[in-house]
Amino acid sequence: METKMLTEVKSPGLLDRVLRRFDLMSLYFALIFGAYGAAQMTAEGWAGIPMLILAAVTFLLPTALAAYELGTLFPGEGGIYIWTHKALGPVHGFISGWLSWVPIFFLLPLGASTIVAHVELVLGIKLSLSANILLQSGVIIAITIISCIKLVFSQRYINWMFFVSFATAVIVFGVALYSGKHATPVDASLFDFNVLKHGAMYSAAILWLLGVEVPFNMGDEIKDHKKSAGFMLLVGTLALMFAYIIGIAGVLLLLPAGSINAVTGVTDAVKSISPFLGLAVGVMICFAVSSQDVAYMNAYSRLLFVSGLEKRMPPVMSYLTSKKVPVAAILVQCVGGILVVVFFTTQQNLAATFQLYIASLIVVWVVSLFYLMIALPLIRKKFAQKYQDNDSVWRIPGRSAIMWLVVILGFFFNFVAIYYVFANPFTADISAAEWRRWLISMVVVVILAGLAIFFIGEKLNHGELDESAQQ
Amino acid sequence: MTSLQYIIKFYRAKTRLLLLSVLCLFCCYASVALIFTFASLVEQRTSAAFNSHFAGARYILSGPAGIVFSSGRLQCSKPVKTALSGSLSAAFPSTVFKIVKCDAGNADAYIQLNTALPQQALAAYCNHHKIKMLSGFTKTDSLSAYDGYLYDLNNHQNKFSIFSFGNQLSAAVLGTETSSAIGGFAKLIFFSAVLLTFYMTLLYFRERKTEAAVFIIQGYIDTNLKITMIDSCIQNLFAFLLTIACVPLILKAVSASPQEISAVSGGLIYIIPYLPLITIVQILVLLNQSLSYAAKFR
Repeated sequence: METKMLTEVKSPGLLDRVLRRFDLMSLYFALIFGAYGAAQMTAEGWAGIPMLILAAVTFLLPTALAAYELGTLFPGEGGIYIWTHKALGPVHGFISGWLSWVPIFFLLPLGASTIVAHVELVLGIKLSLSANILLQSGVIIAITIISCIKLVFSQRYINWMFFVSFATAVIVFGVALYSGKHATPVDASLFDFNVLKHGAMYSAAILWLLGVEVPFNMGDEIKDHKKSAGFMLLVGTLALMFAYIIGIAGVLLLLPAGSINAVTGVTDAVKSISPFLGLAVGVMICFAVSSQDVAYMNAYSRLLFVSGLEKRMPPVMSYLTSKKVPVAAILVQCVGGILVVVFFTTQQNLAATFQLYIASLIVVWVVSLFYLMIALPLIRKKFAQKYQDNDSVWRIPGRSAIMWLVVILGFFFNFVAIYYVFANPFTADISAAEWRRWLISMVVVVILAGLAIFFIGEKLNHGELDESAQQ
Repeated sequence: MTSLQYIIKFYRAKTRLLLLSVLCLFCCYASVALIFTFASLVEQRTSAAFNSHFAGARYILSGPAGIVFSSGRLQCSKPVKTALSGSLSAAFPSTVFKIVKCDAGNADAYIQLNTALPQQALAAYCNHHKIKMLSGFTKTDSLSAYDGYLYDLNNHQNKFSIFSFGNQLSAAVLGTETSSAIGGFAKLIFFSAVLLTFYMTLLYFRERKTEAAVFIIQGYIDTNLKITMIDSCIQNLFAFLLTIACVPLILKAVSASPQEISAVSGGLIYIIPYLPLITIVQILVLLNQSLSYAAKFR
């Protein structure tokens, strides 16, 4: 008999299924597509486009297929947390959820700092350090307030911002075509799929495609899982790939590669032709990034909520308002986000450390995806009957061979993604050897912190929790 | 009765407890303000020392590891390559650069280049000698790919990046802003205040726990949340305003130095993000207590 987790039993009665097909697609798009991300993929000129396509095929596709199958088999709240728990037991379940959750503490501050950079650009001012910190903290608080509104409303904001975010890419490409400029001449690198030559670019492309599995954290809030998730993965992926490619092309046509600002590049590109339109794109990016942060806030808070239900975290984490919002989990993320902003922004000498911090959380995030790949074959074997009994389960087509191909590709390219984070320091302030040493230490600390929280929770609950919700 | 009326009624009944709680929160905010005040001071002093040390320099040329200090002395573990110093002397007149030697030994710790240096000639020199020019945070292939780094002091976003990563990190770990006696005192107050506030929040909850449990058991979750939020917001806002009013006075009593007093304004701005931070933490602690207590009756 299948033993159910506490969250599988409790959560469906606590949450409303309000996310429809388009909601899920726009959530997926918001989580992955950075309206300013195209600029970061122009560092090696036109090679950014083939590397993005390669990353989509080798990294995003296997992750999406695995997440879709597991997400329809176990459509509960918590996504990867539940899947790993089912495959490998409670310790790994919690650790996978933990590793998947901690990146919120770089995603939120990153979004806030991007918004502030665009505000400076739009207003044509350079904010003082204190004003910068206040504005970044204010952005995080505003995002928290939006996320604390009923999910239907905060999701509506994300839905509207989908069009705004998409439009930024269309505008930059449209302006490039209209201007007829070829600031970065098209060369053979547009068709160069050599990952050894453009490893750093490939790694950057993977980082901009992370988050495929995150919408499944909200499993119990999704209506018609199989259809909605399928639509999300197909249409959402096509939309974000199209937007990235035209975004990169637009920026490269308008500005010479090598002189493009990684954060404000899209706005700068449009501004170089039409200052007014450039400012409009800057404002649009501010809104698009804010919706991205709302999407992060909502989707990641569900992991904390599930940890509360599972009694691995304090009970307050599962505190729901009458509007079905896990307000305490959202507040915890808000506190963490502000702390990171205050800590790193007030001390200039921590600039290199901040790059290390970002890199370590990226590694941690990718490591959590190994669990996805490990869980898939184990679950197929362990729950073979469930596949047959349930029509709503989507299975990777082509028997086991394709599944194993997905797992092998997933494993290999996860390794590649991690390798390049270790190989290339994000900053020139630190030697490669020191970078790797510190990165390993920080990743180990994050994993050990997760383990410590798990075992403390276990001790406080006297080990009574596992499989306590048998049906 | 509205949530606000409920809280006011509670405050009237438990005024002493409220005042104690606000006092603890005040200590928290005041110590943060003091820490940041001294951070502002240290920042001013660091900038002054930096500017006087590198007076007249537009660029700094260092080895790949940056400038390494140990116990206040310039170290020679990763100096500028001798070939680079030699070729620089051959390429440019000696008036546009200054070679700074290590404190022990004869190696070149770093080289200062001034504004009179022709830009194009400098770029050509860097290209020829495997020197990476840095004017911001750039993702680099590998530090070993270059023989040296040239930092543009005018455009660089982070003036500390010319120092080794170890030096940058040790400054953060040691917390230079709290190295002074009063800074250490502020740090001590801060940790004591955090503990006291936590304890007071628990004590404060004891007075409210029955009502909170009743609210939760009866299903008035939002009312409980609203009361907790309003309560925490009022207390924190009050303590915060008290801090704004009192810290300059406290500082004046501790030190009459005009430099420190002028730094107060800078320090006070940095404590603003701590207002939502401490308020939210207090809300979370109170909520967690309410839930745990209510669970006992279920």
